[in-house]
Amino acid sequence: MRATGPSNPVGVFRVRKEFASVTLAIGISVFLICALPIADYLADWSALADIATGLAVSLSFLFIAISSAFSSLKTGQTVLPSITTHTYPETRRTRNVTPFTVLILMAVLGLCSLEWYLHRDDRNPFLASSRPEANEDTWLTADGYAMLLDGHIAQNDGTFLLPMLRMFTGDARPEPSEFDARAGHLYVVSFLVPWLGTYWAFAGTNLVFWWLAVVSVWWLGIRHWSEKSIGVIGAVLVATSQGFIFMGTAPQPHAVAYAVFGVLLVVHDLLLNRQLDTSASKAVRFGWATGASGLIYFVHVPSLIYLWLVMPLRTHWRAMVVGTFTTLSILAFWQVIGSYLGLSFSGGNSALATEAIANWMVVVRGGLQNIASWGHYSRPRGTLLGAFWYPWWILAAIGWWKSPRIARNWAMVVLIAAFAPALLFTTRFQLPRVAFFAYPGMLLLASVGIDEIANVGSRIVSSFVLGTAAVRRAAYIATVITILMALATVTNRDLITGSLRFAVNFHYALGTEW
Amino acid sequence: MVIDLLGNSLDRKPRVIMMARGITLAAIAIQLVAPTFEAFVFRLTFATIYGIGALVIAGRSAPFVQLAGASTYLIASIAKNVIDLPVAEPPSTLWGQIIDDTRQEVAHRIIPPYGSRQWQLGWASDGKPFIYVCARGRLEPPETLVVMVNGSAISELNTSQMFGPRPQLESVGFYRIPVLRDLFNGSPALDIQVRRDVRATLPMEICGTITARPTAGFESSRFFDGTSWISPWTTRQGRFQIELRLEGPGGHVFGAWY
Repeated sequence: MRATGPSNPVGVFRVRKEFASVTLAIGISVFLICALPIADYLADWSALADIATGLAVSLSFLFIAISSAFSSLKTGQTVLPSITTHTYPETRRTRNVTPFTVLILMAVLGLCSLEWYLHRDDRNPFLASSRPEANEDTWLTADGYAMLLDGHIAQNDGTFLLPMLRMFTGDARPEPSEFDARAGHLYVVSFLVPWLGTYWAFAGTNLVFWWLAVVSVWWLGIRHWSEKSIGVIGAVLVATSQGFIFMGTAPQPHAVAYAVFGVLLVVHDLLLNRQLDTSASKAVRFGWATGASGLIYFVHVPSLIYLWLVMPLRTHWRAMVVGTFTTLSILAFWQVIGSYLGLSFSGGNSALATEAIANWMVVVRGGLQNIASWGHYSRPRGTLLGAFWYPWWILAAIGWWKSPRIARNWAMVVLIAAFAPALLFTTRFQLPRVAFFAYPGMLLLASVGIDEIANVGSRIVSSFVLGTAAVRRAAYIATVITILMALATVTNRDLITGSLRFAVNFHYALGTEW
Repeated sequence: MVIDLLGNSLDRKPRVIMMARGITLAAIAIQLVAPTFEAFVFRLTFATIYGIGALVIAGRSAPFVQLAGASTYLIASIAKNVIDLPVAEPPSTLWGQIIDDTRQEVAHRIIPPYGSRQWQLGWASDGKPFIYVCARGRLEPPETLVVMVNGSAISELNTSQMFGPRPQLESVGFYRIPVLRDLFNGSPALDIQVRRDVRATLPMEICGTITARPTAGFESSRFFDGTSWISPWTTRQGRFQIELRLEGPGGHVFGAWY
């Protein structure tokens, strides 16, 4: 059950380069902290370790991305260990599905539905984590940042989406809002309103796309790793993941956007990575899909970073340019049409992103002291840990170590594509919900980690009991289920103990506490 | 037996694929029957981006997947135009009740959740109870409100009790009033009344919001206008912002109830 794959002599991401990047990042972080005058926030070890970790992790991803871009520029595709240039162990596998697999996937979709249903109304973590007992926004009322939608209590940002939704159903004229750029989400929701009413239309859309995310991650799992169980374990991890549970019944586009990012990775694999053919028509198709997804919420940013990093730049730059141009054209087209009909496309995330960039200019101009203090005030470690708590990182690290290079490279690109915008945004807001876009890479690496631990477990059991294949298989399955249940217990802690800790971490990012 | 989800099968089932494409175009056409010009333009834009985009991108999926997707799109498009279920109009999350007469009174009943995990944890941790009342502006005696619990006056609101951000002088915000733990000994419910100070000359405004999890039922908030009692649940699906909190050291909130 080892996850194996083809070996590659050289690569965009070589282990040596990755280790060099991480070592350099740690060195710089330590230097920054040692070279700076002692500030109040450096007074205790917890805060010090927080800054060091935040800086080291952020710089590691930055250096890996830079080294990959350089390699991508220098290396010709014939020797590049990109997904493009290597055949997968069994490409037919991603096309053909057995009824047993369908049955398992249906069960996982049922698990999604259960999570979704159990976290409805006031148990929605997005809403619950804004209540006073979450001890963040204690000045809010006992219900938190809430609204009533069709008699259901729901996260209150949904209020600002309703005018656009009414516009699509033909009940109202266009009204400018901070969310004009996310109209695609409301176009989709508007199809369910006549059937389900407003609250369940939002929630139902989230559920359908949650299912899509499950299937996408399953598909990506069996495509990039040779062991079939990786896809299934990844699907279960998506079904019980913090991000989807958090957004499951919120009248917001995040869950849809997460799922669409997973689908885009599949589309990219099918259109551009299946063969060496990166023709203009395929690039336009991927660009179109990315642009359409960008009209839901933010998906185009990680998708375009992914597009530019996952394939060799030197040989595929034309496809990247065409894809990017198509994406931006779709987004611009909607802005032109919307502006003509009275929408403003101002405020909201666009304005916040501008502020974040302006804050970065201040940080960079301020020199080393400001860069180090960014590691404290902008909480990069807290942002990444809010999205994925320690066990997921540990499992992903094991999975990264044990994965074949192509799969490891692919997952690293997904992580960089999602973490880069989340870390860049930290100078304005700390948003683990943006970092959660890394879920296809992160959860599949964690799946490999679980698979590896289960293999070790089955070997240990078989050495004590009977060494038959059936016993090993049973031990493997029991270990996988135990780990999955332990992880699901963490993400369902709000239901089990009433603790909002992980929902709060996902909402606001951790502080300096460990 | 295997199920082929992918593969460009145009050469195998061209009729099914052509049917799927026809259905998608029909769905787009149906969406364009819109009640307003703006809705027409918006629907046309997104039907083009998503509908035609799906046609172009989904070319690699199996014919039955394309047909199922197109049929769903068509049914949803028809429903959008045929089923008349408007988008919900949520009740206001912030409204005010003016009190400009000493006969007027706001009343709210809270049943402390003695059996709940939050309450028991807070109580066992020596948590302090507070009543929170939301009102507009900076209240200072004599131009203020008086809070009574179970018939006894416990406080006049003043600026030292103000809690939370108030961007402007006239912004609304909570007043945080400490109450004795003894109040909860043998008391199944807290009946809280808020009245204008008898010396006050200016009108006061108490905030209201939505209600979803009342401890004493949806009719637990009431307003006496001088002649009769009115329930904000009936008129606005709401309640007055009068809450009970149990707090630990450093303002740690164990729970908030209304």
